[in-house]
Amino acid sequence: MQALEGVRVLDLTHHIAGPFCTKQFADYGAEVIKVEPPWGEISRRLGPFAGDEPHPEKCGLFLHLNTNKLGITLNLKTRTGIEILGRLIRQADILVENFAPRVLPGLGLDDAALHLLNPRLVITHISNFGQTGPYRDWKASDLIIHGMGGVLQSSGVEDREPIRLVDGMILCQGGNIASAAALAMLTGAELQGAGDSIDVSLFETQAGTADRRATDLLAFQYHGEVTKREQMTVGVLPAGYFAAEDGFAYFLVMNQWWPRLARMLGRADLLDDPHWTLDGGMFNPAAKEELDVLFYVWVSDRTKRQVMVEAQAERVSGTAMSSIADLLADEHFRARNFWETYDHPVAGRLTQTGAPARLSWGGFQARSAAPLLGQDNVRILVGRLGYSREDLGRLRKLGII
Amino acid sequence: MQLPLKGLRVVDLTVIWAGPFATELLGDLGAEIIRVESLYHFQTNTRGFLCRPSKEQVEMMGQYGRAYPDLDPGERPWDRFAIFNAHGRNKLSASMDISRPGGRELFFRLIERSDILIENNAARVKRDLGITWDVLKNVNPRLIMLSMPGLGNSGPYVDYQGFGSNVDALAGLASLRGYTDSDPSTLSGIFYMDAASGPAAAFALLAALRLRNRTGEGQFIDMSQAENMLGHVGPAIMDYTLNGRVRGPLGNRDEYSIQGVYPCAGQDCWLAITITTDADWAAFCRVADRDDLSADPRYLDAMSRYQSHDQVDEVIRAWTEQIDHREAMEILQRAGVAAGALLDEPAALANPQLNARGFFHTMDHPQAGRHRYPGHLWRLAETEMPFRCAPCLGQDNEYVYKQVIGVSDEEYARLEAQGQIGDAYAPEVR
Repeated sequence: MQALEGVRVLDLTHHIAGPFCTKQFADYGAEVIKVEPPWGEISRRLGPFAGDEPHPEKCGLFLHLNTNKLGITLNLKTRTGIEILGRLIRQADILVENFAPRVLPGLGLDDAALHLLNPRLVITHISNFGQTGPYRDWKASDLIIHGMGGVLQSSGVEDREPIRLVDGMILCQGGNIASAAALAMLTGAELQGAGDSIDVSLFETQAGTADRRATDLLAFQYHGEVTKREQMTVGVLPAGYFAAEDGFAYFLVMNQWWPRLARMLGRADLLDDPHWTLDGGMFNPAAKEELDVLFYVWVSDRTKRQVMVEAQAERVSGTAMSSIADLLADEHFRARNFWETYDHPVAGRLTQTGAPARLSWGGFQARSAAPLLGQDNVRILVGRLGYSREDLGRLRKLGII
Repeated sequence: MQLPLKGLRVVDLTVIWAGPFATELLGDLGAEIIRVESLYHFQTNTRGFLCRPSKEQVEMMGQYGRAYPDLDPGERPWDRFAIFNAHGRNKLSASMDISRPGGRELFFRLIERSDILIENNAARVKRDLGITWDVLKNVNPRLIMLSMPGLGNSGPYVDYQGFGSNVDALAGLASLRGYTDSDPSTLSGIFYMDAASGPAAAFALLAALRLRNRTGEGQFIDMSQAENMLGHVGPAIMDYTLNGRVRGPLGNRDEYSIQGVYPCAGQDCWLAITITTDADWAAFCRVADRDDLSADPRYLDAMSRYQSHDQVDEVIRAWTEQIDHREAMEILQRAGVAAGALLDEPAALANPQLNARGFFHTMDHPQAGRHRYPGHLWRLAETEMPFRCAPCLGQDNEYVYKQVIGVSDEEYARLEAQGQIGDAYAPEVR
């Protein structure tokens, strides 16, 4: 038994934010029918490609985002395509879409029309700026959403340009927020016999994000200071990235941990030295420059893993800065059996991320790799909607699927 | 329509950002969020970096530690701290110290009457307090307990000490960002992990609730914030597992579009632009009054433009440097080009789109004053979402103890005398 078994999600999404939303449902056992145009959804061409071969069935982004989903094709620029979609809408519990806001109404499928077809449908709209407002039809990229909504302005080094998070993360976060809302609203729809419509603006998900921004917006009103690009510190002790023998280590040390830090450095003697330690055990800020020298030397004399092991032995928050290769080799993630294996008919055996959270039972399962284009046309159009095989051929010839 | 989580009771032992973000989302959907807060133990960086900082200490703190109204901690600094007040809407606060005599029994009585327990402390904290799943499942077999330490509840690193920025480094994400011309010493620690964790935890809890509806059983959810966050960097992981390629930072650039963060007129004002198609480029050239460029063979087609990215950047910069970033954004968007000003806090608070959508809520907080709060992260057409101010410490003691747990007036008075029930941290707490 999986948590979302029996839940039917009709997935009209493309690119990153929408598919990430529906991936959560699919991974927890829902039936997610992903509807692509007959020529395939955009993320099939965005890479990375297996063997650097730009093949629509060998695209890492698509393979990652579309695990456990069924895949059909429909050309929504045709009336037949819309009609078939309408039949699927009637059978769905949740619909997720991330087209530009004009698109669905332009197809005659605004919220009123959707609820006429299926009053219990939970409609989930994900868009750059929301379904309303002066920016409604504006274009955006992950970087632009990050910059307008989130903390890009305060990320990086003060005397040069702000520097972003890796591409796509902001969109994933927005999609995940939408998934939580949609799953909750499904409960609401079941209790009340009618579904609501959810409008997720990626801009707003960033403007209210827990990655500092919501705090920053309130803090500015408290004290009138804009958030600057600087290293996050929690006191006067080391904070930031420090060079080890073979890479870097990151530290963020609270003032209260001075005794731990001193022991880590092998200098417990400093705790009795008033030049270094004040009455009450706190670090004396006057010794900061000397501490920095001591600390830099200590880190640079060790590999990043040695740094981490010794820091953690004294319960100081220092961690190695891993590369992606380090990550995949890391004993901790392997010991937790985090990595999952999927078998894909074209891309082969795939190693991918596993459960975002582990239910004791009924949670995430790696059931199937991302679907081939139109993989489930027979299953859904013939098996469920009752088209004949001959119909299916005609639909294909007409470019409807 | 009614809020979908009305009637759901969540016991909230969360700290800092990640856990509180999850309970913020559940609270917005109607769940009752009861923060259980000890008056004898000051949670890490949750209601302050210090419990009772002096004004002088606040002024010396970094950006997050100093966030009190007018930089003044006041009499009750724990009720005036921006990190807490920004996520605290719709939550209740009850004081309770689980480790004091009688504290655990009180906690059990609350758990008996609750649906969910969520916490994001270091893995050992629940063991130290005697409130692991093995114990609580016998108190309430219907309880759903979610525990989300940075690296999960098992494995070689289970007792590692670290913030979100530590895990960001350890889980490989820090290696994927940064300036391409400098080493990681210029990276700043970030807290994206906290943002990623909230919705994933909320989703996992809601999924477990569906299981409970079918079987009557609760369960334990082990969430490693690191593992969840790795789902957000799929391409980098896939490039390694498919091709053995170890990715590094791209700065602000994209893999195929012309993209960057460009300086605009004024001090520290920036514009993010993404130009993908030939039409986008032609539109930019028109706007920048450089129609000569749209015929220049160096920039004529997308491949040439990408290969000449440095020169294209110079062209773009020449235009952006002489124009206000918000004006540039408007002009470019009207011409169909994806562009966005990097909004600092005053610009975000004044932003036409956020204001047209009613994103900010003006609230009067009894200890902090009147401010505009970032609001809900989605809009519902037919369902009204709540927005009540973040709770002061112990604000809801009477309700939680008398109505929820069911203590008598006598017991309540006794617990007050013993110092379990109150609205201020004990004097010795720093």
